[in-house]
Amino acid sequence: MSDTPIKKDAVGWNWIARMAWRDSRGQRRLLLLFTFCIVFGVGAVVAIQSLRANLSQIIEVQARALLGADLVLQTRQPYTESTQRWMERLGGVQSSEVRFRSMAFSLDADASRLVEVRALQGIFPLYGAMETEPSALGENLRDWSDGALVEESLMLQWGLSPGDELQLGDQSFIVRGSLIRISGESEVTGFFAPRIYIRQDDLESTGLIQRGSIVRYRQFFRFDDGLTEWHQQQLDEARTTRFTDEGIRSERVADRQRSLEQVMNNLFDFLNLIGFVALLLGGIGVGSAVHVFLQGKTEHMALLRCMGASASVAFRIYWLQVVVVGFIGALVGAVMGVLVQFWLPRPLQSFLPFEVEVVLSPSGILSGFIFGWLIATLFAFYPLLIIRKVSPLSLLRASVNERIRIHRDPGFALVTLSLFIVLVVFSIQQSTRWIHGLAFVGGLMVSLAVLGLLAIGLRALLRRVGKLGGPHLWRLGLSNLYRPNNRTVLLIVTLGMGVMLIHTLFLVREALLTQIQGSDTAGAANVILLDIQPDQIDALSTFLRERDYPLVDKLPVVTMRVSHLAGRDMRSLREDPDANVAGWIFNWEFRTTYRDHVLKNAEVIAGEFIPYYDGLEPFPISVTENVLEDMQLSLGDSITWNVQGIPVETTIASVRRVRWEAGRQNFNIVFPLGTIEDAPTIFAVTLFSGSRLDSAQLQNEVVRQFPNVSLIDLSLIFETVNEVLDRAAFVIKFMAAFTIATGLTVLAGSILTSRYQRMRESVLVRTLGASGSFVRQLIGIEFIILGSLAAVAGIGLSMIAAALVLQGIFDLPMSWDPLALVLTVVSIILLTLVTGLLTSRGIAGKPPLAVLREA
Amino acid sequence: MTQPSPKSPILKLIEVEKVYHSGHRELKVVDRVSIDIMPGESLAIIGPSGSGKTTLLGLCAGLDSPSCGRILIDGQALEQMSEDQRAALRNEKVGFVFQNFQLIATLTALENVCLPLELRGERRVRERALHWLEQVGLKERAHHYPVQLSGGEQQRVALARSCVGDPQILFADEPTGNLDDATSEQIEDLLFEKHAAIRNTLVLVTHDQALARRCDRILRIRAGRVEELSNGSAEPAKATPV
Repeated sequence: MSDTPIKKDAVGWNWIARMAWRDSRGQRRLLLLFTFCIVFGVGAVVAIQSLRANLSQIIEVQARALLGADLVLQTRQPYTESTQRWMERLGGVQSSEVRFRSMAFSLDADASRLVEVRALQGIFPLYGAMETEPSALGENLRDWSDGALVEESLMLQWGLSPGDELQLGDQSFIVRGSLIRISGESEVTGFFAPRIYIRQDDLESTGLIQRGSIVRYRQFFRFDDGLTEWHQQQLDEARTTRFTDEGIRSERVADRQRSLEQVMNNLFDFLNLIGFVALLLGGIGVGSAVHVFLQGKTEHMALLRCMGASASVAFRIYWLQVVVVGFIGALVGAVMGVLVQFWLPRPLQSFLPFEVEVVLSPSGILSGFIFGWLIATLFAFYPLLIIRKVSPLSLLRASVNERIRIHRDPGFALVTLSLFIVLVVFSIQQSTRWIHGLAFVGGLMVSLAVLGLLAIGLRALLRRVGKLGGPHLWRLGLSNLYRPNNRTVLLIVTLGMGVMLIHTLFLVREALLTQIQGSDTAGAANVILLDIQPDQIDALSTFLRERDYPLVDKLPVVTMRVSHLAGRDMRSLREDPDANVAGWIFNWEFRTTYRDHVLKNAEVIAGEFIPYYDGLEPFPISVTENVLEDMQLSLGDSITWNVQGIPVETTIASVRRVRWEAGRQNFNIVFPLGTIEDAPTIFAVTLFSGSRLDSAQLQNEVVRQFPNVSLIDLSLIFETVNEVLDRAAFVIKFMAAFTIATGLTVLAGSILTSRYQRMRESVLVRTLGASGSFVRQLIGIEFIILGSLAAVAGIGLSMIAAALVLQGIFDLPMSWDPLALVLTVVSIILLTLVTGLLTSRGIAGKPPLAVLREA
Repeated sequence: MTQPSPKSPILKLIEVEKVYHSGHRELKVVDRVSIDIMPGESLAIIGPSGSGKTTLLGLCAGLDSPSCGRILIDGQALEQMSEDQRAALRNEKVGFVFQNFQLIATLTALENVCLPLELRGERRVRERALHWLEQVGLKERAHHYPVQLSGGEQQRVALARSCVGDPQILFADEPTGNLDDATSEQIEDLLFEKHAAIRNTLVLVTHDQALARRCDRILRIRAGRVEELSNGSAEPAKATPV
């Protein structure tokens, strides 16, 4: 008898590596294809993370330039003398800006347009730069008389060149050049109303600022030592006193930095979500592909075990292949992400208040790469666990491996736990708050589970339908979705997730645009005239009547600020940490109206709307529900208003719910008739214009006769929103395309791994007499069904997601276009079909004997 | 090769049973089998399909564990070993030839033959593997992949692989089951030639009576019970247990 000790694992990593390399022969392309499942996910994550780091760095470095000053104060009325003295005491270099919207008119172009006039005094900007063409015009602005710097988009729209004239109110200005960019403001800022800079000295002669005009007075400060403790102390004191009294808002560099970071975080949290989804789906795809790949390797594993390899040796041979393949995938993904990072700022640039100079972020790239690699490897661990269980006995009896169950394996729990931890850490690392990270993973898991269940349900439904009969080809194609090792559910989930993301976006966008367009189609007002002075209203009405423009509504507007809420003055509310009154209430200049009826787009939800009132104060007013909530008041509470210095007592008699729609005016605060008619009033008029051309013509005539009146054409709002949404949607669609690409890669991988099985089935069918064309049709039907299921699942979920977003965020009902829906479904089916047929090439044509000999 | 003591069996089965459960049913595939197989012996296991001969081979080779009873290879009790220890034991003392050859498709003939030695952690295995390929007449095709070889050639590579590690016991499961008559004869000759040359123990499962008759001993298994037949006759030589 021999007592030779049993050696364990005599082989080292060298041999494992050699064996892994040998084992991968002939299948390396297939293995590399698996990696493409994660390439798009890693690419998306690397691009987003790296760009995020890039932008954060820019915000950090350029913080002062982004605000243009150390401190900016803003109010809706000219600063009182006391405040002006207080500002002088703050010291430093100061400049000011008066900003408002008005109409501009070009004689040369015979066109008018709503613009934002910014009248400057002093140096501007105090930090950062104003990019102009010709260059450095901003510095000379204060030296020009009647000169204007016009936003590039308006210059192009009107075909203006330096030297041309431009009319603002009663004053004509010479265009000196175009404004290309100003640090701290994005391109989107000027979408609705292009910016025009003039000297403050020239403002008065325009005659544009009249009673009731919405004007913002901004004061910029630059301090030699930045914002000192003393300055901060002054600001803190002023916050609860003069700032509250005069509705002044202050913004420091840190405030701007914080708000920019918040915007960035919101944007990138959303983009990260898409990248995360692509990565997760890619991970699942890798796991699935590796599973099918390893199923073809069970005999090899059993043989190795039979010849004396330990479970660990067999495991490591395949683990190494997966790790290397995952590494390559993550590496290719990282390279793709870096390339995308150079491109991504372009579509994003419109929303960014600074020029993006792409600097690669090693931490962003490394983090995307490592997490991508880890996620892919961990998903591949599930099928790898099976290797440890493969019995050498299966060489004699193949059915032995059918009984392998890994769910009870401690390794299964360990891998699941590791995967969960990696996903959570990854998510937290990307989110600003850990709770968001957890919610992110949780939400995603729920979505995937719902999509998975939906996929299973749809497949089961289709199976039942298939049993009811139908053409032979259809039934055969359907049965292919149930073949052993099918990846039907996985493919529905991966493709469906991409469809869901893109279609949700599409539905939300459509609903927003429909809401804007809705008033237009209803024959309601589509043109609004604002800032009409009391002495102009009759002349304007006549002017419109002469031109056959039916007036939809004439709305008196009285501006006022809140003085007391439920008896408490605003100072004490500002100081009270438990008050919870929304910040904007303190500074807001309310544009209120008086009328005897509730407008069509509103309904009274509490109390009684009082049309007339002939008693003394307090006047019974109607308040919208959102203002009521922000003021922390309830029905019957009192509000004291400061109407141009005169206190007016009111009590809340009714609460309204308003459907805010473009083109249809409404007011947060409505007084009954017989109350504030004597207060300084301006008017707004809404009317219906038959065509865009009519609106443009009317606009030009109004500007000439009533230069201070602003005209807003609804189509302008529509175009602006459309353009902003278009640009935003492009970025999101681009990122969501990564998810679709992942789904198609998973599909291609799945087809290639089951290629041999498909080939054998094809041979069997052809041996029985079917033609190559029959087999191709059979394959085609399978992918058409698969694409349809993915599209239906994705669109079904997108309906729910869009309804939730629209209801929860925009308070809008969902609207959908059946044609667009059909187009989406057809596109997905075509994409699936083309990918499927391309990766199945040669299956139908391979000679049967060649396949049979290979067996 | 470790030389066993001349009197002790290289493979010993004591009251071995293998029971499978199918729902509430109990299926006894191997029923209280006891066998002693001495070093250098050749033994054929024959029996009708489903009689349990492959199960018995799996048990003897340590590929499966008995429901009860003991199995000793070279004196080492398999039931006391973990699966990895049994794998190491197989690597050290056992060689296999399968009906469907079981060559690894992604490895060349030479690499397939090298495998058992490589798994032992041995170096310079190439020469020994080439020597064995030469022994089976395939040295010239050392760098061919299995798919480039005929069935007979594949089985010869498998035979070279099973012998390269100088195993004390060679297990063969229907080694000629997938081959034509002429090739089967060549493989049989080669198998017994190598068995005689290295003087190891040969245990083979076969349907082929002629092949079985070339062995020193024949065991017939029927409904899980084995009986030993006298070589060259259909009559039992002696009853089991031995």
